[in-house]
Amino acid sequence: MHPPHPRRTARRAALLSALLLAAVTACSSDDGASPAGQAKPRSGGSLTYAAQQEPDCWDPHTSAQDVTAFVQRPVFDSLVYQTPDGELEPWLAKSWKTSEGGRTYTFELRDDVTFHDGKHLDAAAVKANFDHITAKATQSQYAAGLLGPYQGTTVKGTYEVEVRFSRPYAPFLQAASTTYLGIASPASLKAGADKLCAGTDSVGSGPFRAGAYTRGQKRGYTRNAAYAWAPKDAGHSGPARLDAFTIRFLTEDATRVGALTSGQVDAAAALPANQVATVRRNTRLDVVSKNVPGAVDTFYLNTKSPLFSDERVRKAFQRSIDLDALVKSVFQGTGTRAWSTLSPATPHSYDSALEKSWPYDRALAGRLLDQAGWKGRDAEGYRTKNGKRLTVVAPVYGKASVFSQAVQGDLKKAGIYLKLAASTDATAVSAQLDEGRYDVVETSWARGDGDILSSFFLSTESSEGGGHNFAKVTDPQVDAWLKKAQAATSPDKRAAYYAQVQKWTIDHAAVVPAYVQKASVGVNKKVHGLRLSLSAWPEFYAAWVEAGR
Amino acid sequence: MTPPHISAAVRAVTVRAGAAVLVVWGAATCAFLALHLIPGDPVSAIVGSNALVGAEQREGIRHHYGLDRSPLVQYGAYLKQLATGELGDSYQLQQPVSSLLADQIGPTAQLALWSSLVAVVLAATVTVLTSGRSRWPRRVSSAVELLVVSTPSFWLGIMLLTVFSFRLGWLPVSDSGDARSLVLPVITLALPIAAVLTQVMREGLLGALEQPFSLTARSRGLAEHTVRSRHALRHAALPALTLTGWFTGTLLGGAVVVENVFARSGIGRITLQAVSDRDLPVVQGVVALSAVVFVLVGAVVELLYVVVDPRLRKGTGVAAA
Repeated sequence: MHPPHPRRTARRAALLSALLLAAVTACSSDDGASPAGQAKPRSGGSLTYAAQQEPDCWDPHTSAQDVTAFVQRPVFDSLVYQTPDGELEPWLAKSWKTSEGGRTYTFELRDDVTFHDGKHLDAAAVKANFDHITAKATQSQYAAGLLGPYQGTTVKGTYEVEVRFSRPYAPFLQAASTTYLGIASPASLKAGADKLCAGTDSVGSGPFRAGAYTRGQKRGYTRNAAYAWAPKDAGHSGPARLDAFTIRFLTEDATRVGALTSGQVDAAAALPANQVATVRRNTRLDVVSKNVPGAVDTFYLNTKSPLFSDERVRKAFQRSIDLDALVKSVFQGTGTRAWSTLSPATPHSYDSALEKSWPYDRALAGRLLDQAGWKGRDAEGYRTKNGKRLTVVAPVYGKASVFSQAVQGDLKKAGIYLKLAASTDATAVSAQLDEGRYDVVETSWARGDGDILSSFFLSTESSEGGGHNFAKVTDPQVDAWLKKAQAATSPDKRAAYYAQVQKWTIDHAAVVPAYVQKASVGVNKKVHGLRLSLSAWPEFYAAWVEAGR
Repeated sequence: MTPPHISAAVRAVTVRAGAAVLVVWGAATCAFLALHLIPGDPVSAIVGSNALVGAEQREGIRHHYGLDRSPLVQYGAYLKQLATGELGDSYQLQQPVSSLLADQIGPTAQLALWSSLVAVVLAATVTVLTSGRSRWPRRVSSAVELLVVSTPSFWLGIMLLTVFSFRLGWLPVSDSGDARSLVLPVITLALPIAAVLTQVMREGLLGALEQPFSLTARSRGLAEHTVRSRHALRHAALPALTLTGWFTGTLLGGAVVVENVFARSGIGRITLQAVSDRDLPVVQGVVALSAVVFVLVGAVVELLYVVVDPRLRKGTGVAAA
């Protein structure tokens, strides 16, 4: 017996996977039943949603994963609700007021909320949750960070609770609307980290109860018939319309798309770029998509590196990339070219004045590089200065993306060598970041609040401290804007400060925002009301399915 | 006084058990070394790239998992855990690895057992059917076997799904709880194994059919297919049994692919996740578990040798050569 020759197998695999794409594409162009007419919302029924990722840990107070927040949203309610448009409105808290210049938040809670275990929501329950999040044993990777300069929580009355911060902290309200700061039944919090992480002891007050979970496969949800505290703009009131729904974890793109096109699941997340058009052509299916809020995929230029401390070189880099063309070809319409570090989907913070303000201009870039002394050319066409090639070092953890490689190719035309230093060595990469041994870092960060800018541009948010000031901006003016934005109570005022920060980072070429990610979900037309939240995850509460189809 | 054959048996069992412990220890040590020699800070793997975690909290995590101790101390603690059947806590899932594996072994074992059964039955059937005088069934079969063996399981699985699930809608894409959901994953895993087994068994069978005992059987008036399936197949089964070790490895590796393509639970699914997350305790646990499975399978194979080949029952060791 001879084992298959490895080289031949690899070649064959490549060949066959190309064929495979063709097969799946052919399959999903099936014509189905005609779309339903204007049916009325009904109560009952169930649906199946295919997610592309399964959470490691199901405790939103611990996990930093986006997917954890999504799968636990139907189970855990929050004090505050953020509408798909980004507005904040009452939820478990009827109302709130801030005092001491934004350092203290007092919440008046609803008095009619019960958790799935029959326990009643009160001020002590909220305190128990915040105490759990900030306890050392919880090992919170994200939620505790969202609480920022948190000091403590005080029970002021049965339904009155006060949350205190060491300095004014306006982003707290949006943070309080995330699942990461979701309110669990205090009794359930005592189950222990392993149980909470396993998702078997998820007890909230949400419209759905956590049902059976099979790791590697699926989790069920059943309607909470007692639910009567939906936020005003949830798209529905009272108990959820669906009796139940199931999230299946179909991690293989081909499997997930096939399950959707063959009707085995009713909706599927994360359609690959090359499948969106195919799904859209299928008469039984719709595609809903939405821009992801927060910090878009951006190149942060190290303003302190030997190369990029020269603003002219940074500006040349910024204007040398034909982002319009690159984004179009790489993402096939599932991403848009960015003009600011912030996504246009980020509420009350995006500065649309930046649009078209720094177009691709290779001639300008050339002049700037000439001025900065990068006049020579080497054999490969890269610019040189004193015999040294113009090399921009970009640490990459894991593998360089297709998009980064496309940018690399584009920059070569401008004589700039983008060195994608890919490594799976987490220590080496973090050390490189901590010590500032790089010229550029490409990253993104989803969040429904403009305060995400603080983590990228406050001078104190260094890489060693867990922050993300990869551009190494240490500007007192920028710090002041960001601090003032955190302290400002009116959304408009905050937006004005954030706009100034965005403009500053573009003007000083501290960043090259690249593209805004778009989340695309394929949905069977028999499903209605499955709307996307601000963070572009489906909300199941108001969803319903047509009967008998 | 103990009779000599009993003390020999005790010695044999002791030697076997010792060897088994050595195998498991060796595998566990290799896993420990390999995972600790890979550069990279496990704490970065624990907190993930999305975390808002400061330096102080990082140190807390490092201490919690004992990663601030010297590698030798960590190795000692690891062996101690292993000896007590405890495998530590997963970095990512924050659950005991032993209970995690216990939860996931069922679906994988089900998949593996059915695949082995289907592979063996399929291989035996094809072998008997294609080892006649005529050459062309053998040639066709060989060509198909070669094709199947060199097809990546991932592709085979997706192709089966595309045809039988997405297109024809006969079978569900992922575990729906009933037996139908087992059909495609079992076929995906069984086909390549059956192909290799067929090649080996056919060679053994053709050899056996030329032996004098086959002639004797034929001269007693036995039908050709009876000679093949009753007498010669037994001889062909021995090399096939030897392959079982390899086979187990294929099943474990195949489970990783199959469980992901078909969205099944199981050891393969968590192994892939653990490897990509660098969840060291889970990876080490899977390696230890695999070593134990290999040792057990080895023991079963030896027992089966004796069942299949009566000559081995005398224990002279001469006939076994």
